[in-house]
Order: sequence, then structure tokens, then C-alpha cells
Amino acid sequence: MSAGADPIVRLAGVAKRFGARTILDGLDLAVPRGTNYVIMGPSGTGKSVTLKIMSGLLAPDAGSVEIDGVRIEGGSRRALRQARERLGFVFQGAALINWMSARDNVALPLRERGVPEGEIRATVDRRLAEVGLADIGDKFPSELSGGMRKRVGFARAVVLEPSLVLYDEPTTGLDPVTTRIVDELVIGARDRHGATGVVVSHDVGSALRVADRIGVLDGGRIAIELTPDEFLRSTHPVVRSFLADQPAPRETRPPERSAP
Amino acid sequence: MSARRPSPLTSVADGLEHAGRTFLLLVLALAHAALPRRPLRALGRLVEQLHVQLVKSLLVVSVVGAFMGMILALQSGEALRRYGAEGQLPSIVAASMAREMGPFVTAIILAATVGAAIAAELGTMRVSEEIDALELMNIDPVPFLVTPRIVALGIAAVLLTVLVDVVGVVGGALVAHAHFGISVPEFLTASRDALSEPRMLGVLSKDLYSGLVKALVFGLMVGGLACSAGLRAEGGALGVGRAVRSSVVASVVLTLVVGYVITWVFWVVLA
Repeated sequence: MSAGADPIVRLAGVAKRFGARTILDGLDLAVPRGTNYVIMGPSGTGKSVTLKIMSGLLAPDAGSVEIDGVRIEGGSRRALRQARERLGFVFQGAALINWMSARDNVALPLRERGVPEGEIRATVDRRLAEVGLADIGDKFPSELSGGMRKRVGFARAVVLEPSLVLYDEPTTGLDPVTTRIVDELVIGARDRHGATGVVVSHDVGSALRVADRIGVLDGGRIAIELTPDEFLRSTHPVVRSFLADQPAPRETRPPERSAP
Repeated sequence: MSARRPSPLTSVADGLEHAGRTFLLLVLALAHAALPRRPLRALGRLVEQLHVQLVKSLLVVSVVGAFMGMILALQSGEALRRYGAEGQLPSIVAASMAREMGPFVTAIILAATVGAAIAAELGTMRVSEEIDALELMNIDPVPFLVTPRIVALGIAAVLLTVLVDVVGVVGGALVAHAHFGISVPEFLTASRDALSEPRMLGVLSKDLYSGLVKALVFGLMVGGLACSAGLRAEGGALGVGRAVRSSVVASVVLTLVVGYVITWVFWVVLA
């Protein structure tokens, strides 16, 4: 379990079963505010389930889930609404509304909160520029590449300046260049906007670049928690199996943290 | 390895659960329609859906309606000629179209076109996590997606039923003129007279009321079934396909069952 002060995400004893299969079995996790926490683990170990429980999309069978001081596991709509006000979510497939343009997708959370149209336009333009897509606002998701869709999804997730952003496999299926761009966005969300990030990934290179801490999920719990440097030196079997398929460690070593 | 088949009892329980969820979704969607949080935005979404649904169905509904009236006129006209009663043809065609065929044909076409499209659209949104994305943005999918589709289908069903009734009667008039020597103006006048009595609530005839009530109920029902099936989709493209099929099958079967119940209410209970 993370030992950071003032955790923004706190999971205690979380369990989740699907039929006879136990996915999470007493998971404890605390994510310190202002850090990027990467959850790694083999396929089917419950990484995405953990993220969905954090966002309230799935209810745990047991345990407690606290997001920025709000307990959400009880199914209270008000608590969930309150927690989601502070939360952004970047989906693996971007999950853009397919009949809306990129601009309207990014504008959607603002429009639903009744923000004036002039303000929406300026904010959306700024967010699209930040992800390097200032000129594709009128295009629809079907006209964009996978990397572009992910970046639009990122712009939508951070448009309300959430204090916590959850990333579900943000670099899966992307080429190395786009992967680096997305990694920079994840790092930028932490360093420029102060948003805590919880990243689910099995892309070791990307994880080492963006993470402050890496938690390895195995057997329904965080089996080991490490800094990126510790991760590279770890002898834990799951960590070794991840590193076995990777290029030389120096290529995946994390960059220095940029000044806020 | 093939999946284990569910027991009949499990299938019945699933069906009842689906029916209950669909009914609740329908009630919730109509409650949001009655008390919208942002009326102007809700109206905009409704008009957008109504436009899409009417454009999608107008041509096919018109063609099917016209041929339905022509077939009715030809079949009934041949039977009536044996008894020298061809003069009854306009009232038979008009009443059949207004009471039964208009709403029924419209509902079946809407279930197969608009309902299937809605189930596929919402199903795709469900499996590609777009619905989850809406929920995480604190946007309730019911007023955002379901209410405009269901209410638009209710309105579209009524408007399209009137169109089917009209083109059906005109189609019948053309056949009556070609095969039975009844002039078109004579047929249309007789049809109008047949649909004028008996009046209910002093405005429309019972034939028209029963047909329009059926159309409204069928439209709302097709919309509710399509939205419910789409929102429950799971398992990728296969799941979307299953949602579309279950939406169309349930719509067609329930259109017949509910159509019978409404006919019974109008022509037996309120006789």
C-alpha cells in the first residue's frame, strides 16, 4: 500500500468477483495527490476493473472506495456525482460520442454545466491546441486516427480541470511517436495542471516515463509497489516477466520531472 | 466449446426482468419529457430525432401504405362483387386502414428501420464505452439519449400512421376505379363519410381514435424496447447484433399483442 500523505484515491479491502472468478481480493491502494500512479499487471488481473471501481462504473462486492474525501462504494448518487465532478477518465478506445465533432465532444461537459458558449469556444480551442489538434475541431471521430481520437479524449477528460485523471491503457495500439505524445500529455496533466493520474498500462516504456510509483497487480492485490528505478532493478517474477520483452532499460528510463 | 443453454425458467426470468427494466426506462424517459431540466436543449434534441426518424421512414411507409390500401381494395372488392356490394368498398378500406392496418404497418416498419437503428446505435455506444463516458461526465443517458428517441418515435408513429391511412385510401381508390368502376372522388367522399361516425368526445370518429391511440402506444413501445435493448448490449459486435434482433422481435410480437388489447378496449369495453 502506498504510504503517501493526503491520498486522493484510497481503496481499502476492495473485492470483486464475476461469477465464480475472483478478480480483486482485498485490494488496498492509496494514491498520493499530485503524482502519477501506474497500475501494471498481466492481462485479466483486474487493472481496468480497478479503474472502473475508482470511477464508480462498477461497485465493489466488499471494501471501501474514497475519491478526494468522498466515499462512493455505497451507491449514493449524490456521492458519485460529487466524486465525478473532480474526475476525468481517458478511455482505451477514447469513447468519443460518434455523432459529435471533436469540438463538440470536448465541449460536452462544459455545455452540460451551462457554461456560456463564448467561454466554451475559447476553452475548447485552448484544450485542442494543448493536445496538438487545433485544426481538427470540426472533424468527426470516424475521420480521426486512433492517436488523434485518444488526444481528443484526453482534451475532453481534462476540460473541467479535474483533480484526478484515470487513464485506461492510454498508449495501447499507438505507434511510438504518438505514444510519446500521449505520455507527455499525461506528464503535463500532473506538472502543469496539478492533476493526479492513475494509469492502467502494460506498456513498460510508457509506464516508466510517466510514473512516480508503479503498483504491480497480481492475485487480486497490489503485490509490490515501486518507483520506476526500483522497478527496473526488481527481481519480482511479474516485474521480470514484463521487463523480459523490453528494449534496453536506458531507453525506457523515466525523464526528470519538469518544474510545475 | 459451445455455451451452456439457459434453462426455460432462466429464460422466462430474464424476459420478465427485461420487460420490467424496459417499462421503468419508458416511465423514466416520459417523466424527463414531462419535466425537462433544460427545456430548450431537450426540444432541440427531440426535433433532431424527429427529423431523422421521419426522413428515414417516409418513403418506405408511403409505398407500403399505398400497396396495403390497393391490396385491401382488390381483395375486398372481389369478395363484395359476388354479392353486388362494391359500394361498401370505400368504408371497408378506410376503416381497415384507420383502425388496424395503418398503425400496424407503421409500427412494423418503424421497428425494422428506426427501432433497429436505435438499438444498434445505443448498443454500439454501450460496447464502445460511450455511455460510460457520459455517466462519468455526470450526463444522465436517459434525458440525453433515450427521451428524445422515444418521444420522437411516439410522435413520428402518429404522423406516419396518418400518412399511411391517407395513401392507403388513395391507393384503394385507384384500384377501385380501375377494377370496380368506382370513381376516385366518389371513393374518397365515401371514405371520409365512413370515418366521420361514430364520434368520440365530439371530435374524431372511434375508428380514427383507436388507430391514433394504437400508433402512439406502438411508437413509444418500439422506442422503449429499442433503447432498452441497446443500453443492455454487451459483448462487442455480436452483442449489438443480439440487441437489434431482440428489439425487432419483441417490437413485432408486442405490436400484435398490444394491438389486440387496444382493439378490445375500444370495441368491446367502450362499445
